[in-house]
Amino acid sequence: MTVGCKEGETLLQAGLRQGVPLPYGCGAGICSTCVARARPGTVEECWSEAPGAQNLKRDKGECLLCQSRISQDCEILVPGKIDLAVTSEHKPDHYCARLHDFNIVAPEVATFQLSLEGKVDYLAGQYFLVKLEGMQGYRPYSMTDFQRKAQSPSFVIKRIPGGKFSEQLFTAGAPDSVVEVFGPMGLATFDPSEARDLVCLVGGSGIAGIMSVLDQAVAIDYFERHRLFLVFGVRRQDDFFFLDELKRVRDSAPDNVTIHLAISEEEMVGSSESQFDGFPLHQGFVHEVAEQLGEGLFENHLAFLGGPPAMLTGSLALLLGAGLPVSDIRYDRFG
Amino acid sequence: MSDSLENSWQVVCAATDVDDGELKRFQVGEIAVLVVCVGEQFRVIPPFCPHMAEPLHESGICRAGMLTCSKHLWQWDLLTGKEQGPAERPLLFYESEVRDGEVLVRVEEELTYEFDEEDDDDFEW
Repeated sequence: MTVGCKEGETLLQAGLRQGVPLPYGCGAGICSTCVARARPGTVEECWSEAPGAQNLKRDKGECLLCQSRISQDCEILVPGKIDLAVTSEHKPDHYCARLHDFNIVAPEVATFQLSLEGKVDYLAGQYFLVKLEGMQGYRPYSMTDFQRKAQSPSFVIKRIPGGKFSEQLFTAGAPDSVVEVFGPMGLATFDPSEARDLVCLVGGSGIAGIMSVLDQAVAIDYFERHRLFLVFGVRRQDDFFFLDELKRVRDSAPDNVTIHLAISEEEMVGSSESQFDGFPLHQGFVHEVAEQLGEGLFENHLAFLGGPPAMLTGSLALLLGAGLPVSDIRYDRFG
Repeated sequence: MSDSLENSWQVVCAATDVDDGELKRFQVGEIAVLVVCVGEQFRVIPPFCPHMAEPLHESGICRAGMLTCSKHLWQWDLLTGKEQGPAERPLLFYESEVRDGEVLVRVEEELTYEFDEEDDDDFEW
C-alpha cells in the first residue's frame, strides 16, 4: 500500500498516522522493533547513533522506521506478517503542545503537563512521543492519567545522570515552552471490558503508564469487582513518589487492592518488613518481593509491567514461571 | 557409530554446568552455542533469537519447558523447537546428547537464521 509522508516526519509516524499497523515498540530508536528495509539512498537517518540502530545491516538497506525520513519516493519492506485489518483505536497524529507545570516529585523524577492544541483520545497505558527543545529526536513519555478528549495529559520524566538536557531540566527547571508531540502510541493498554484481575509490577518512573491504567480503573469502580496486586519498587525510600495517588487506588476498594513497596539499595532498619507512608515496605527488587508475596497469586491475572530492563526481565521470568501466557503480559520496552 | 561421525562430536560442557531452566552460552571451536536444560534433557541452539537476532543469553527466559525472548515475546517449545504464540519461525537445534555426564554436540556447520525475506526479488540489492 502507498502512503504520503509529511515533511520531516518519520516513516513510522507516516504509516501509523494513516492507519498502517507497522510494527514498533518505543518509537524512539531504542528497542529496534521497527527494523525494516528501504532501498539505500531513498531514506535518511534522523539519529544514526540510536541505541536500536547499532546492529543494522545498512548495506542491505536496513533502517529503523522510527528514525528514518524519506529523501525521495521509497519502498519499504517490513519483516514478518502484518495484518492490515488491525488498526489502532485512536490513530496517532502530530500536535503542538505547551509544556508546563514541571514539578520535581522525587530526586530523580519529575512530572509535567502538556496542553495540546486539540483534544485527543487515548487508551490507558499509552504514551506520546515528545520532542523537547534541546533534545535530539523524540522520546516516549507515558500518560499518568486517563482522560477522554484530553487536552492536558500528565507525564513523568526521569533524570538521566550526566544527560545534558536532563540535568539542565532538573537543576534549572523547565520554562513554559512549545514542543512537538506525536501520539497516542503503545500497545500495552488496558481494556476494562476484559474484566480481569490485575497484577502490576513497576519500578521507578516505569510506573507512569500503569498510573493511567489505575486512574481509569478507579474512575469506573473496577476494583469493586476485580483484584489488584501491585508492587512498586525504587532504590531508596526518598525515591518514592505517587504514594498519595496509590492511596486513592487502595482506598477505592481496600478489600480487593493490595499494594506493596520495595527498595532495592537501601538497607532497611529493623525487621525485614515495615511500613512506609501507610504501605508495607520490603527489601529487594520488585520481582523478588512479588515472588515472596504472591506465590500462587498470579494465575488468571492480567499483568502490566513497567521499569528498567533488568526489572522487566526478572518480572517476566516470574510471571512466565507462574504460568501466565505471554498474551496476558503487557509492557513497553523503552530502556 | 562410525569413526568419522564419532569424531565430529564435541564436548560442550558438563551436564552439571547447566541447571534445569537455565540457558548458558559456550564456544564450540569458533562457533557460539547456547545450552538449555529442560528437566533432564538438554538442547543446543544458536545464540540468537530467530526473530531479530537478539542475543538469547541476555534476553532468553526458560520456564516450564518454554523459551521466551523478552525482547518481543516470541516463544518456543524447548523440546521440539516449535514456535508458539506470536513467533513465526522455529528454533534450530544442533544434534546433541548427554554421555558420561557431558553434553556433546555435533557441529558440522554453524546454524543461522535467514532474516531476509525470501520472496521479494525487488529488494535484492
